[in-house]
Amino acid sequence: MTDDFEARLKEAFPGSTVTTGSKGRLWVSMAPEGLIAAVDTLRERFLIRQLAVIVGEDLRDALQVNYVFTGDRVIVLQVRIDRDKPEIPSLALRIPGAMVYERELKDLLGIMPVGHPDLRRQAIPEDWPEGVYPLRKDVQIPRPGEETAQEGV
Amino acid sequence: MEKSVFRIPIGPQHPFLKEPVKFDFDIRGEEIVGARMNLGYNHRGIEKACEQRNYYQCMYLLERVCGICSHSHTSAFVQAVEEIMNLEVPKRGLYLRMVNGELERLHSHLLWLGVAAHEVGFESLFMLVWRDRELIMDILEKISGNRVNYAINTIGGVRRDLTDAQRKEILGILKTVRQRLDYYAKIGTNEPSFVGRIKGVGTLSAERAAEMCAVGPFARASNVATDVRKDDPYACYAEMDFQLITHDSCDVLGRVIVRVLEMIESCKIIEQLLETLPEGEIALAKVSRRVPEGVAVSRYEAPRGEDVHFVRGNGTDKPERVRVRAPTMANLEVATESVIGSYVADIPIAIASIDPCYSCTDRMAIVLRDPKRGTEVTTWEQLRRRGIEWYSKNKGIRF
Amino acid sequence: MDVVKPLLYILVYPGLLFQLVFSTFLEWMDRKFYARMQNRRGPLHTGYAGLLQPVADILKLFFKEDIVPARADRFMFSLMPILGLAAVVTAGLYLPVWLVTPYNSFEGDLIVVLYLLSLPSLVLFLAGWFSVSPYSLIGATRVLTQLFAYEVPFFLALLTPAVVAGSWQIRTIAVYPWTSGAWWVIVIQVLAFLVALLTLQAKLERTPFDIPEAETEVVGGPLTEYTGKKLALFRIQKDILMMVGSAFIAALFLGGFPGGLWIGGLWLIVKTSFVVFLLSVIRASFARLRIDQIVTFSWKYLAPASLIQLLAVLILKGNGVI
Repeated sequence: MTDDFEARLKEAFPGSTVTTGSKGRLWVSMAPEGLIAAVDTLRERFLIRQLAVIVGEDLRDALQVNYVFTGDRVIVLQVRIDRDKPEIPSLALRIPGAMVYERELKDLLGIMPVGHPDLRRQAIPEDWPEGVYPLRKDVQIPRPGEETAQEGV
Repeated sequence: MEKSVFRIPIGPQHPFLKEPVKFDFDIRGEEIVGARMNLGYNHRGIEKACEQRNYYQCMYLLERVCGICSHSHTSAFVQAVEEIMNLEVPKRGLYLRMVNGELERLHSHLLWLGVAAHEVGFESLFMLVWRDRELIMDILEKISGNRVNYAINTIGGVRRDLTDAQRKEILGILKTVRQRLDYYAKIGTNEPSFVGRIKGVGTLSAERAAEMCAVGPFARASNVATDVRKDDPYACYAEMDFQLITHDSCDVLGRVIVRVLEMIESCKIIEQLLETLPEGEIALAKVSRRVPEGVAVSRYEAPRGEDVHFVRGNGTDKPERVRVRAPTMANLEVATESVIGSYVADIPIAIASIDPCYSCTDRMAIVLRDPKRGTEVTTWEQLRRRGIEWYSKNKGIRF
Repeated sequence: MDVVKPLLYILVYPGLLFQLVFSTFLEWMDRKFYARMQNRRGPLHTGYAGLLQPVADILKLFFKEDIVPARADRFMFSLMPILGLAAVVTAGLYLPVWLVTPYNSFEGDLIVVLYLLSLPSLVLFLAGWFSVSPYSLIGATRVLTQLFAYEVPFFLALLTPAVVAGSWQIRTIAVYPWTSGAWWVIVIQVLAFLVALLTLQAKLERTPFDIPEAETEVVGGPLTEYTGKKLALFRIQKDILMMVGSAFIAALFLGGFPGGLWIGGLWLIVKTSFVVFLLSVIRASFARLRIDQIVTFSWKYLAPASLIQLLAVLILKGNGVI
């Protein structure tokens, strides 16, 4: 069934590259515009409904969002987005479970989920400065004083 | 807000949960009509911190993500790293990892059962369950040297072997534990006042659970058959004979039953593991400190549900990105929602029924010293001295 | 002598001093029983086998900071602990201990005692009400809801021995099994005795009826805002209420405390301890009931049970058996 599955997946996502990783994980790279349609296909045609996590990454030259779906197979949708226009379509209305991860994405990496119903701050405190995203590689966290007393680890 | 509705805040400090999360419940009389949750009181920045440490340091750091399921987080992490490095872990190492993992599940579920009993005011069950949890904690201490944060995993295997005497002793203790578990299964499902408090409380339909991507015993109690050990077996779970426990009552009673039965399954798994423990090395002799470029998603069935770790290596000895998804993160939102419509008295047990763990969910805090604003870090000693001064000045009390 | 005796009565036995000492002893006993039933040790270190632990706990509270919330009604907030304590101590004065020379016993003192025993719940309600905190308010409304649930069965249950003895005087009811020679009346009242035990548990707000102060939901319930001395007074009040309530149940259902000052005193201690032991067993074997479950339970089971008991006693009485 494995190879068949892969072939079907390739057929379903013509504009994207599908690679097979270890343990049969499938990695699908695609453009942000195709995301919503891809998620719908995944859920309806392949019956993979469970969104495990959304991982935002800073690849230095671009940002990347990985949507890890689990079911019979683990499928990771990878969406590369521009650093200058960090926006992705929100999945929150389709998959309510995506809400918390997208809020974290916005807080920690500054990737704006467009169409998200509830964008309160989640991971960072209320007095955190606007526009500082701790998980970006080039981040300069503004320190009020000069020395850091204690790193909360 | 209507006039007859009033809002009670629960948290970030409240006796029902000694952890930093805030809920706002709108109540009318005793009925809950609205609920909101707010996180982020204690985000510890572990993901960022991991990027600045090497893989071995990361392992110990990730062990501290959670105090209860510490083994789960390291296991998930080392699995991902081993996957990127393409390592073949010795079988004995994997078996020992699983023994630890299942013992951890036992102690976590026992802890939860005690907490659940406490939330509905059944103190006797709470005390008895926690007494028996000590048996498991003693085993864990014997084989790893620690009660929590066992530090037994390493990249390519485990760090401590099990002697034959220990093996026999554990099997002996497990017999006692199984007897006690049977007793708790009986109490948990038959004691009228306890069942009266948990039956039909915090209901969550199977459809909603799937929609909200709920995981672990919480989802299984809503009849969603999800268990990484079965769906996507890691380590040697494919060789084990155990059942995936589900229940269709969709309420807290179901969650109690699922957890108690799961503990019995865990005992079975440990017995199988120890009886067929293969001989050989427990870890690879030499593992490179540099991890090649690559990315891996690792799934692990922690006691509370599925742990997902996403690791990207970049050819150096430090990871490029580590993402930790603890099970509470997936369950909290839907648990908050499931409270609406029930009584105020059901809040603690309904929320606690996902076995929430906010240290897993929130992960960052940096304490800064700011001379300009006058904020500073107060040490315990300073605080004590300040208290003594205040009392001697204002109340004339001498210490 | 006319002055000394009432003073002794009010201040020493069975008044304030005796009540303080005996109630702390009972609290220790309750905690010890409770702990043993949960496979724990209970208090161990303060005094012999931890006997002084309740005293130490209360003393500690007296030295703690006394805070009145800014928005609370200062006068009422401070008055409540004293009022509650006064009510239970006064109720304790009606214990039928000095059988030879009943000091303040009169026909109808049972009604007075029932009234005085209801006061602590009202006081608790008002204490929560005047603290103006969401937790206190929820706790306070729960106190009142629960009061309506258990009060009627409690009254009906205590009415049974009064009907049997044909008197409203506690002393007469207590000695009735001995004076009439019909000691077996104790046996036929067992249903009322059980109802009285459960409702006393509800009055004391202990598991399974501790929803008004369920710490996992409403922190301390009506007492959330109380600290220091005032909280200590509430603690004493609760202890004495447990002692007085148990002693009255012992007096009305278990044949009183015959034998004068010394032997009667001994009986008082033994029988009250027995009732407290039963209360601890109840506390250890149930989970906390929800407020709606308490109301249903009271009206569905406790009230009918006490009515049936009353009816049975009335029929027996009418036929001249008793």
